[in-house]
Amino acid sequence: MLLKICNVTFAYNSVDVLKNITFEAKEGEILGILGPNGAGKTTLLKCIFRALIPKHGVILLDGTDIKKFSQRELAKNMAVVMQEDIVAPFTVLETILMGRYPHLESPFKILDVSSSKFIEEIINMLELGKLLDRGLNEISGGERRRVHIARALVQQPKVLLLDEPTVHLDLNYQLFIMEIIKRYTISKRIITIATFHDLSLAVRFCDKVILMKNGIIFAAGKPEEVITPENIESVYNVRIKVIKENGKILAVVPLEITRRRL
Amino acid sequence: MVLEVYREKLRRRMFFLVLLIGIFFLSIFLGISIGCVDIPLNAVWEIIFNHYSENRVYLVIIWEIRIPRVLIAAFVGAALAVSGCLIQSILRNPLASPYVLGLSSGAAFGAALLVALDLWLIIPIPLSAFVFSIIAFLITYRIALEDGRLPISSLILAGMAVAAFFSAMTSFMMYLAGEKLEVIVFWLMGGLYGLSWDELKVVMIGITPLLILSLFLGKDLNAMMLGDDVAKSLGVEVDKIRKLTIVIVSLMVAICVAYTGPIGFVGLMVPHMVRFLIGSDNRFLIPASIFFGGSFLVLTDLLARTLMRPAEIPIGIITSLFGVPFFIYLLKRRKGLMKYVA
Repeated sequence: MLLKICNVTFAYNSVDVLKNITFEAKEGEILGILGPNGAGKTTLLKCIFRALIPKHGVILLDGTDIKKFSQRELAKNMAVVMQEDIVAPFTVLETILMGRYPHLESPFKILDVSSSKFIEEIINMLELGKLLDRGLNEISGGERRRVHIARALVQQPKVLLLDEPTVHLDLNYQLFIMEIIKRYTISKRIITIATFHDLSLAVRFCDKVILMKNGIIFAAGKPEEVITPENIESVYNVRIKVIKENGKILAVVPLEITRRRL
Repeated sequence: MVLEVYREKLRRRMFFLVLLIGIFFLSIFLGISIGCVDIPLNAVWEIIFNHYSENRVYLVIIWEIRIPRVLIAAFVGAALAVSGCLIQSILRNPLASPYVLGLSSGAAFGAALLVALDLWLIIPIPLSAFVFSIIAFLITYRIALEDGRLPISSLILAGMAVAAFFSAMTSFMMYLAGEKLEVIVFWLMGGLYGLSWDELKVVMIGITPLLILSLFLGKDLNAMMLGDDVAKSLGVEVDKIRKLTIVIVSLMVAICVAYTGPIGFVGLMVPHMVRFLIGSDNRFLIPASIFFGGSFLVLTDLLARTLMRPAEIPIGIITSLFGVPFFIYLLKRRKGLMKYVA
């Protein structure tokens, strides 16, 4: 399983937001997309699952151009959790089961019994068993995030796309969710691509990162190679200190702003 | 385990749906049996099933007046309630009613124009109301369209603008109408007067396929309530479904409004009442709204024509007057009700 993004350029109102983006994501790995606000991280994610259509370039899933998939075929391959906190008038279980929609053959089929064991595993894994009958509006933001992640996993995607999966979550939930995603990515051999603002978290969980600035890839590679004080200062205009332990990066601490962003 | 509980819930929802279908047919039977003139039940029965009665007057009242009127009420109630569900889902806004697209304002102008210009005896009001309703919709649609998509906010704002424009034009027509003002005001109150089998045929042929089509949209509309991006990732062709839904709603509502004038409450509140009872899953909500909405309008129309008989109260007054207490009851009891069904 291989996802190739080749020379992707995307424009909003003829302003190029992504310029010639090229990279690959492999199965069993988490790929992190880093960069300041407005660098094009979310736009790139939306291009990958075809919510936005690039001006140039192709995206290949195992050699097949994703443009060739029908919307439903694509949904059987890719699942998404957006960063917005989505509250709809459904219960937790109803929301999770929506992940099965692309797999339901008729518009009147409510449930496919064959997947029930698998669905239950995911519900237990994300510790949502006690919340199933609650409305999405009756639970906390952190709980909702877990619901939407469960919804995406129930979809049985080959590619999992996460837009800032840990934003607004407390320390405990941040680690909890990232550990689940890490384990799931490895055990099911899926491709996970996630955007991050928290560099420490990205370093810790990503196998590869790309660092974006103004719609281009500024640097890409192993987290230790990309997240260096020099790179971060050129992209974020912030001086950082990288704290290492046994040669691995433990934390990335921001020290001071070197230049106000305009 | 988890899904067993869910399946039990689905079973209860199915049962509730069957119950609503029973209530629907019961309402229709009540609507036909009760009215301004008291007719014995066995005579009603005989007319419905054999189209025969020894009493010619009974035959005319039941066959020519009540049956078309009650069935039109059933279709219009169903269509308005379903349109409300669809439009609230598609706009992700619980305050939306099918009239937000400017449809009723266009229809009102179409009716007022004919009356003001003294053409209403030559051109039928429903025709003009239908045409202007569709014109209003097309203008809304055209304004809202951006790069081949229909963004939600543009759709709401365009609908509001078009509605405001046509309301102003309607007021202008009323200002010009002079002593015919009464005719316009009466039409604007909405009602199921003077409807015959001819109108019933149009309503039936127009609305039935649209109701059936709307049954297929439940799953996609559910997904779209999680936002356009998530819906796409769940395999929904968002732009296509939104356009299709808007067209279905517009045609249904234009047909309804043309014959009955703008009847309030049903399109806005009935979907919520059904949600309180059966939950928000559109795969159940849409069919439930068909039968709930149909029953609701048949029964409120029954009240409208019998409460002050032989006089008739405009139905728009009754739908709100009796609908609101019922709505409040459901609102207050929804937690308890949900336990059983939703």
